[in-house]
Amino acid sequence: MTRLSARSWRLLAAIGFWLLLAAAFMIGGVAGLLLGYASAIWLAAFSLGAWRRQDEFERAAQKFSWVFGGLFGLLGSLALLPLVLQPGMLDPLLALIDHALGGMSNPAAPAIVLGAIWIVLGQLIGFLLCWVGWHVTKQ
Amino acid sequence: MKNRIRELRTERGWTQADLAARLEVSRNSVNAIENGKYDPSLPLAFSIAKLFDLPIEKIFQRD
Repeated sequence: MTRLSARSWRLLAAIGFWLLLAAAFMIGGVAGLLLGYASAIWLAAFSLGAWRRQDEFERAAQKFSWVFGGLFGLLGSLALLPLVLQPGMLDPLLALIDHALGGMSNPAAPAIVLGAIWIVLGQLIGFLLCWVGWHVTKQ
Repeated sequence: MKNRIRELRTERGWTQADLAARLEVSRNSVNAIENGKYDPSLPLAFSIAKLFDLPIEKIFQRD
């Protein structure tokens, strides 16, 4: 097999993760839940593959972006909580997650899942902003 | 930290991509190091010094 670059591994990590996650939401139920876990495992495996293949400059960019972008993304997601917790604001998302979970017996399940997604998404957006900013300033 | 990498590279007629391939790093890394925007690690600095056949202190100087 041809040796793939770190960029290819990162691309595969992202594409596979989002495809599996989308499939998980569409299928729902136990199979969807398993696909959700599979998407996380896929992301971890290909991210590690990318990490091993990238040079120290890119590693420095990612460390910086996870520390500062992740931190400010986390704080940002918490700061926005009062806004999104307004009545009715999250109902469509909660309904979608409830459907994806196949109507689990625990009524708090959609809220817990949405809470986890909210924090991860905040950190991911913070990471991406920081990563782009880091590369722009280092050119 | 200042460095003479651009000068040494152009003396040899190498592009940034050539140097990056010789050092097994990305062209972005070479560009950032040449512009003084990124200080390489000690192992990479040693690799650069070995490639140009010069002592490290002849390539990198404090600002």
